[in-house]
Amino acid sequence: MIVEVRDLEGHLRERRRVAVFPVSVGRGYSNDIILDDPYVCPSHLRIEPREGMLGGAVDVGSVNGVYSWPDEVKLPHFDIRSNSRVRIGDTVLVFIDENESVGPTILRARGTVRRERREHPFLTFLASCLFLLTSGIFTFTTTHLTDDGGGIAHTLIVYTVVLGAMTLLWSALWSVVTKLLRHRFFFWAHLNIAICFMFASYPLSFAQDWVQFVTNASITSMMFAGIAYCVWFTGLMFYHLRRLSRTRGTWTLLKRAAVLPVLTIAVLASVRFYQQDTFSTELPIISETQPQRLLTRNGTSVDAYFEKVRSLEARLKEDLSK
Amino acid sequence: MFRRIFLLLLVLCPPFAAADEPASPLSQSMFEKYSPGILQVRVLERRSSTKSSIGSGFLVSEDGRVVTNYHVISKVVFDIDKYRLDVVDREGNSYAASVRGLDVVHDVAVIQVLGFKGTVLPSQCKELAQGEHLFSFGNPHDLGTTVVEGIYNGNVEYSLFDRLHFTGSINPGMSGGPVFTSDGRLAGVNVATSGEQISFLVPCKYASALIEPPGGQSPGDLVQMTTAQLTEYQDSALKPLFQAPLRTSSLGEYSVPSHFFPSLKCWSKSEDITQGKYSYLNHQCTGEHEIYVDEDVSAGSIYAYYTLVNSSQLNEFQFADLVEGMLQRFTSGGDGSSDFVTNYRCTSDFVRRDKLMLRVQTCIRAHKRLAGLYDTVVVFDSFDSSQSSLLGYFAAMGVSFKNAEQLGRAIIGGVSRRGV
Repeated sequence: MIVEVRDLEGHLRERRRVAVFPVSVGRGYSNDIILDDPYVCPSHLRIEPREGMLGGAVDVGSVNGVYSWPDEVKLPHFDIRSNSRVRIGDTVLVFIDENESVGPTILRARGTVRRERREHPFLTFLASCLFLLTSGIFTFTTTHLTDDGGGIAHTLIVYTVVLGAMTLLWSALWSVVTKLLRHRFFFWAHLNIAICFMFASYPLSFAQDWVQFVTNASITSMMFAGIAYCVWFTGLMFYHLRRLSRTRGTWTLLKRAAVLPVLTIAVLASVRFYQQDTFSTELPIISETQPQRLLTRNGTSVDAYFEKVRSLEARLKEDLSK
Repeated sequence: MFRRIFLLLLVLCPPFAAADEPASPLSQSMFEKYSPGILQVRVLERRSSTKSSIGSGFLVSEDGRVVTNYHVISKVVFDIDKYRLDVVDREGNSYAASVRGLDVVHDVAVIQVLGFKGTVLPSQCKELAQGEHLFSFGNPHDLGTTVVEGIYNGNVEYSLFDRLHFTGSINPGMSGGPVFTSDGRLAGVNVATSGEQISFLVPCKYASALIEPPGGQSPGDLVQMTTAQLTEYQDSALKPLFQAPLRTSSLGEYSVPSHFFPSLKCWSKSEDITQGKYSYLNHQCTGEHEIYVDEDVSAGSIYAYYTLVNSSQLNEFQFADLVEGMLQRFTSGGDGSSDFVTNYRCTSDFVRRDKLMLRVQTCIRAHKRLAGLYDTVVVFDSFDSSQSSLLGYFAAMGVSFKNAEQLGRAIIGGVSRRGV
């Protein structure tokens, strides 16, 4: 039997031929298969011969247990069949019958040697930030008044510093959360999603109305950058999800990816409720995004608009009764 | 707002020394004859018995009825549990008092003083002639009763309500004091000053109408009475506006409602900005007078402000950004405290009027103590052109909800663009 040692993303670390039983698996140096994984016990698993199977495995009293992969069902003991997969700590063991055939050799055309592309999440993040900043500078300078260079430079510096600080804050917050996720990809995925939401929440500081925060024209200058970035990043997400869904359930990945957006919406909604209770003589800022201004061709009639105005009377009576 | 500051100065601030000229013999005789009936009216905070506001009043009946201004005693109307009313005579004796009747629109009130016996002053009115000599009495803080001689210079034009123009230095603290003609008839009641010997009086007829109110009034009735008077006033004052389209003025290629209310005075200002990249033209209409209801509350004020922005050098994104920045200045909802008004509730949408496209936001808030009255603000901007835009801000305070809606309709209906 062949035992493949892989990480949680499915990358192969080593293949070991098992010919003699029993086979011990663990972190300790006395094991037959030594795993460099802090979540694996010094003695974690023992593989024994079993008739009719490739073998049988038993959890020898580990702290973190043995789980089927990707189903995550705890297994105190299990039968080993060809392509059985289990997870111990952050390591996935794949058991393969040595008699299984491998695929045919692919003929490589001359001059087409390609180095394997390794995933660099941090570089991906940096690249996306540079892309975002460049797009932002471009859209900012074309949409805002070019009255004096000092003013624009100052505004850009302030904007970059504020955005950078917010990005670091979100990163710090989610680095704690993603430790629970135990998946490196999701740390950067959450960070990139946080950036998208920061662009949406940037005008929140000016808007007092829930509807108007998504229509505030301050988004305009970042609109092109934001949309382009989100489209690019969505493609990247699907690429990774497609790869990862081979080793982990797609539904599990989507559930985990939804955590940040749900939490962001909950935070914004609570901010909205707080603002409703605060007394103010100031009016909400009237604003709309430039696409709305450019695309709106059919406004509502005067009668229909003042029908909406009439509905304010009931809301005001509610306020009076409080 | 400007007017309210001077009303408060009359009521609260320490007095100034009086006349620029020595008193005439007639002034002396008037003073001797009428000063015994002049009282200082005080609103005292109940727990500390310290003065919250002061003014003047004059005795008009043997049973102790005293005429003063409404704004002197307004705190007692709305917060009777926190404030009480008393009067002080020339000898420094104080007497408890209560509100007997009021006319919030014309800013006059009658109070009932308990246990005071003094000289009853005339309350018969007289038709005045321009240039007639008048004598204003009052009791400024700590200076005792004073007399100021001046001239009647007609009725104030373009005012929300009747006011007499008195050329004389009414001093702070003299609010509520009487103004007599040389033959001893009541001309009016001191109410406000704008300095430089420009002062205003409530015409006598409004004080006379209050002197015989039907029965006594309890504090609860006073709030309802105030609300009813304001409601009736705004209904009658605004009714003519809805019977025909509003009067308009040209603002570049646009026409905007302007000069549509008697008290509205309008000015314009034009300026080129940023080395000629864009220019703007402002047109502002402000109501000269408003009705004082209480410290943070007024009614009857109307305000309209328009800005026409033009640019031929900015691209449409830059121009839209410029307009968005200018709209952010239109966020003032006026004065108010949470004791008197609710938060504004708003609705906004894109509204098409024929071929003119406007983005309109209407915000309305309710008065908590004046049941059925609201403050409304309408903000709009046009965006049917990428090189010019009309921004508008309209506010009306202390109107019924129905009138607030109709005013909004009238303003939006009055905006038009030539060629569209």
